[in-house]
Amino acid sequence: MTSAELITELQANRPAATDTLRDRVRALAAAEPARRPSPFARLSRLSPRRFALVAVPATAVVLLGAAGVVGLLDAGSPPQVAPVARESVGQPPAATSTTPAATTRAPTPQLKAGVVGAGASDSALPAPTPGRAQRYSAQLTLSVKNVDALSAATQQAQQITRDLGGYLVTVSYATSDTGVSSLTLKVPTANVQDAIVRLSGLGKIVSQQVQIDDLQGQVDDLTKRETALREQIARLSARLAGTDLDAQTRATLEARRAAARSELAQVRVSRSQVNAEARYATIQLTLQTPQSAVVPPVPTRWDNSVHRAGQILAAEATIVLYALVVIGPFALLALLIWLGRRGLRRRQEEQLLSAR
Amino acid sequence: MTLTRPLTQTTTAPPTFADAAERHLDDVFGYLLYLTRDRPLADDLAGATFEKALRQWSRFDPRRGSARTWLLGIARSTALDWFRAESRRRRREQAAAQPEAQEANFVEGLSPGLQTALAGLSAGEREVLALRIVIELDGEQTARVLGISPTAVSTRLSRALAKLEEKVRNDDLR
Repeated sequence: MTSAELITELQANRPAATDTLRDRVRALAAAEPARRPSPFARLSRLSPRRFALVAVPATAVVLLGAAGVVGLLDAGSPPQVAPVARESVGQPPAATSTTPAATTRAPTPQLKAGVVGAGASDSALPAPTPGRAQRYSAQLTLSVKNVDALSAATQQAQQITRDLGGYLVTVSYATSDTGVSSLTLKVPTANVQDAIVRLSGLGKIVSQQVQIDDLQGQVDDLTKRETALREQIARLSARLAGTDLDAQTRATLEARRAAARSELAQVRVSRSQVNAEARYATIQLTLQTPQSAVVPPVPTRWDNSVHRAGQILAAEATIVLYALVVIGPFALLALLIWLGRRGLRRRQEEQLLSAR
Repeated sequence: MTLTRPLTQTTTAPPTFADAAERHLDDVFGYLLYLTRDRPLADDLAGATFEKALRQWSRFDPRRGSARTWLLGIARSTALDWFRAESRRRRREQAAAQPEAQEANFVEGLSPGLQTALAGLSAGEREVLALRIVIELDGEQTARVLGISPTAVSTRLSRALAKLEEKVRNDDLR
């Protein structure tokens, strides 16, 4: 008997259910409850694969939608831009308080001080009072275009100083992508206004501060003291020229004259120092290149939306990643257990079926 | 000019349990009979299968497979449950257990040689013959019922047929 004949015989004798069984099944079917469409019936019929096919894209759409909606709603508040970049150029520093006169001996020091911002006219500069000893100090910060301009401006500043009869005290020059040059200049007080005007032309004024301390009081005091000491020395010298003095008195007068002469020498030195200080003004010149050449563009509402949505998406991705990290091992373990149990069940089934 | 009737959209409504039971009762019974080689047992298991199917009928989705495949799957799991219970019972009772009363001529109409040859096959071999040849499921449907790949179904069927043929031939020679 061939396989074809076997198949034919098997198919020709298909078993049929008994009437008893048929009646029993019909009775069961008659008791079938009417199927009520339940909204959850479809869900219960979904296979895990189908469920995943629907759930994963749906979740992605919800997450994207949430990010988009939150991004649009939050678009009104622009993201914070670091203020440093904007303040680095062109903003004058806060005005510093004027310092008191250097010496407290000046009874009523006449004090002038001013801070002049960028773009101030030259006439706004306080001028030294002619005929009075004054300490004139100015701080000038200029912005130049680039490092090349910085180098040229530094050299020109030195040249201007020399032209006006002044001299350079210190210079510091540093460059990389940006550059800063700091100079301390001494300029005759009579020429200081001219110096500041010419130095200001080397770049864009970022800030400018002028401080004038009146030293005339000190000079007057020192002059008076010098006169008094001279008179005292003259009187002492006259008494010592006499012959009626005993040895002790003579020694005392000589000691007093020596002390007066010593003090007179100190007073002269002090007066010459104060006069020298008044003769030359000090200019602290700072030349700098812009620290941030690129000013960040002002973000639009769309930029803000995209930025905010990106932040939300990043947060969502982080949460999903954390969830995967936490749930992943358990899911893998569950999968392995399920696969193991399925394999075991199949082997048992095969054993059962092969044994019968 | 002839007027033709407009085409009506035919929507196939999902079968009712009564329809499915009436249509596939013989298939389920035949499969169980081949699996168990015991007519009363196949009768009982078929009844239990339809009871279970009625309880789970709301979960049946025609888009995922035919009612026949679904019912045969339930029949198989019902039979396997019974086999397991029987196996446990026999292990408990061990020597006291009587050998199962399996009929030599469990399918009416078959030649005695084929009946004997079928009895010499394992239940696993008989079920693939029943599904593929007697009930005439295709490879895909059979694979779904058995929970294996269509290739494995093919292999099993070839082996079962070869074995059956050999047993019939040996019987003829005797």
